[in-house]
Amino acid sequence: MTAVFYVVKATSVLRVLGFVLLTPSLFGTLYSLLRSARCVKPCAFRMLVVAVTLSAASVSSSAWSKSASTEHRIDRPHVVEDPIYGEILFEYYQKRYFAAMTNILIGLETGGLPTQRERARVLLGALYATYGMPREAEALFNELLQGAVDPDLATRVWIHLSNLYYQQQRYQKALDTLNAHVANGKDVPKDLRQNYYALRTRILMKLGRYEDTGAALDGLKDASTLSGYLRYNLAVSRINIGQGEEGEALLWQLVNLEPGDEEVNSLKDKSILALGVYYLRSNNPRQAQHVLGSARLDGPFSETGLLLHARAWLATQEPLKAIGSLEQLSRRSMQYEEAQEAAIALPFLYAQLGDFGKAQSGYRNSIRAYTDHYRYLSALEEKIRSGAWFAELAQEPSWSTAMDPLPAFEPKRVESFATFQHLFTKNVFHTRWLDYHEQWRQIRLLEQWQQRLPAMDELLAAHISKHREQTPEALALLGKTDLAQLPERIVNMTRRYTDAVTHENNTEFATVDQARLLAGLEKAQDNAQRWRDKVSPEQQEKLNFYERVLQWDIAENIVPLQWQRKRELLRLGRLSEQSADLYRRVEWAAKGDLNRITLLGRQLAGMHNEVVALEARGYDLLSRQQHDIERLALDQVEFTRTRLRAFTAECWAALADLQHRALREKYKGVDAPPPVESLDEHLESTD
Amino acid sequence: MTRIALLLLMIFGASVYAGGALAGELDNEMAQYRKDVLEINKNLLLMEEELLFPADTQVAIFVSLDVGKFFVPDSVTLKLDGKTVDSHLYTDKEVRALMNGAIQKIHTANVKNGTHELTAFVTGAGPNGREYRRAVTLNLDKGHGRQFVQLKIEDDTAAQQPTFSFRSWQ
Repeated sequence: MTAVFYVVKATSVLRVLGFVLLTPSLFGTLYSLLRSARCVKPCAFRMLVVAVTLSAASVSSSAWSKSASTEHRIDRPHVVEDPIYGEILFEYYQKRYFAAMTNILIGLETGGLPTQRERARVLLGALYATYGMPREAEALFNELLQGAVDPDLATRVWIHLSNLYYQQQRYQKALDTLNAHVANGKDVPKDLRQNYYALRTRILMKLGRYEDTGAALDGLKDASTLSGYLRYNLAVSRINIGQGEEGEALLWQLVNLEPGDEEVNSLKDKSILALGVYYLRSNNPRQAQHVLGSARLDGPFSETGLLLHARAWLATQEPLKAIGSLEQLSRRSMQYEEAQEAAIALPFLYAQLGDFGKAQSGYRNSIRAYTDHYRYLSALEEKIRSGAWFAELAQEPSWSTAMDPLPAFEPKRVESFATFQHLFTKNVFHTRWLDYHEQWRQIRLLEQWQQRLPAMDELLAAHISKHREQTPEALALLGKTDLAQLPERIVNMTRRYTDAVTHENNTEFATVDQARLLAGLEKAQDNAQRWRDKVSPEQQEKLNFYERVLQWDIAENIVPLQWQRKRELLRLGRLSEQSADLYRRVEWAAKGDLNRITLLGRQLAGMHNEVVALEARGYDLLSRQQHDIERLALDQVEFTRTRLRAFTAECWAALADLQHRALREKYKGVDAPPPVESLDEHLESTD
Repeated sequence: MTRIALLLLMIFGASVYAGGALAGELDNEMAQYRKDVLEINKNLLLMEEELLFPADTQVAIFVSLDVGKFFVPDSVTLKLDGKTVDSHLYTDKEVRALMNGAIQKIHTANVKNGTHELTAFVTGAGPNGREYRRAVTLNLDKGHGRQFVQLKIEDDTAAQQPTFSFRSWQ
């Protein structure tokens, strides 16, 4: 009988509540999965996704604020100088991290980030870190720090790098990095400050330096959920190392939080249970009863709450008050571990209260229930091995477009859900489950490209066909242009202009009328020379006079005439340059562009193959992830079976005890029965 | 019975999950896979842009919002040379992103060199939540090479009104 109690205590107090440290994401999963199990409200995994991306959001700027508040706004003055950087932020602020990463890579490759390259790289590094690409992130951060990075950016990089070390469980290095490069929280950019304090608190906790966490924890806003998680973890850690009073005080802070959304209420529930365990451990069952009395019976932790509640009454030797909780539990599904424990604890209590009939039937019922559940687990094992369990649990992941953030993807509330509820809250399951979904997204993305690639092929073919049609026309045009010898003509005109100016040949600058008169005079002079005998000296003199007058007329306006010509020549020169540029471009389009298009065609074919190969690899990884999850489920089944075997054996032993007792009662005169073990002795032995 | 309890405790103490090394290998492969997918996604997007919008004819139109106290956009409709080329309805998320300083690439077009008329019709909530409609026009002189046009929606604190203007650069 002692052992029965030992089992109840060991499994419930230590494991079920177990002072397991929570991460926001893990708690989110726990909360949402359990809540979805009870169909309380359907927003479930969304919060988890937010939690997962918390660290990414801390990355560069301000985006992780849920509201439209402009508290952290960065556009006064508007810091976006490169439009591509603004476009990256547009994706990032909408939590489309995959699209943001792709845009950063495009911006870096195409030179679209002339002024904000480094800033974009910091963001990329942080996104790598949260996207399960720690090596790439570390390499990028180190590269950034080796360069002459802006001091403000450097602080960000050091924090991200420290966070990366933390994720890699290099806690001392993470702390050293912060100590060496981030002197205090005030130096941290405002939008990163909360995350900085949270990171510092976590690192110090991991290093066991709980006393030093005070300042970092004080830096966090008290009302934030992040602060709540950290306080809970800190409380549990401190209790576990024997600093009970400090842990207790922190837990009370959480218990006394104002009721809020489901997330806050679940955190309060969890704190109540932790306090209950603490009081039970420290032999303060009255206080445990008091605090556990306020635990919700419909929350995600209600089974644990009921079990602990029973335990608290037993600790004060009031088994009658414990029976109610245990009976409630025993009516719940045998899939709950707490219900399995209640099934054995309840007949034990009946026996303690002297109701041997109820105890005996209770044990028999429990054995039957354990056996049924054992058989159920065997069938479930088969189902897991065949892949049917996973297919039922996962269904088709929902997604809209490949560039969107991952939509909610919850394990379906299948019949076996409760069997795995503790597995579903484990970090290892949570990680694999999200990875599985992410893997689907990548495969969908590749499938989408597979559908778009034929269109790109057609587009390329259209380019080639257009090129083939237009190239002969372009070459003909270029030939005509060559024949026109435009540049040479400009050169000749310029030379004539220079010669005329140098040799003061004013006739070169005559207006059209003047040129016509000059030509007429020249013709008249020729005629006069030819018919010299018929031209009188007066007439000849007249002609000479006219010529001098005309020359004088031209010379009088030579400056504006020369300037006019010069301006005309310059204009023609510019036109000539433009036409030469156009000539080169048409020539390149006619000849060189073919090389470009050919290269594009080759690249496109290569990408076709690459997409197909990646898709195959993706499916392989997907099946391995599924296998991993199934292995976890099988381990859980085996674990439960071991428990059931032990419980069943325990029930049989207890029945034998009862039988033995009854026999001894029957043959009382022959041999006296042993004294019944008191509850006190039970409690002492279990402690 | 005590023996059984101790056994249970041992079972509890042991990790149910014992696939650390394998998981590490899988994680590495997934990281490499993600890197490869990001790379091919980037290359394909670049290729698609190259085919759809060659650099010489490309005009990209952006929208920015600074600060958004006097105006919250509902929709933007773009007309290029009198033809409607794009319309966009804003979601809350998009408005929040713009308010945080992001810039939206609303449209990419192929445009021949020369002068073009670009008009943006903007609707939204103006000061005190009043319905607000404005049109703003730019005579776009498209030269060689890629060209960017930014529709800037700004707060005019003195007038307590939003202002709308275009900025064009290459």
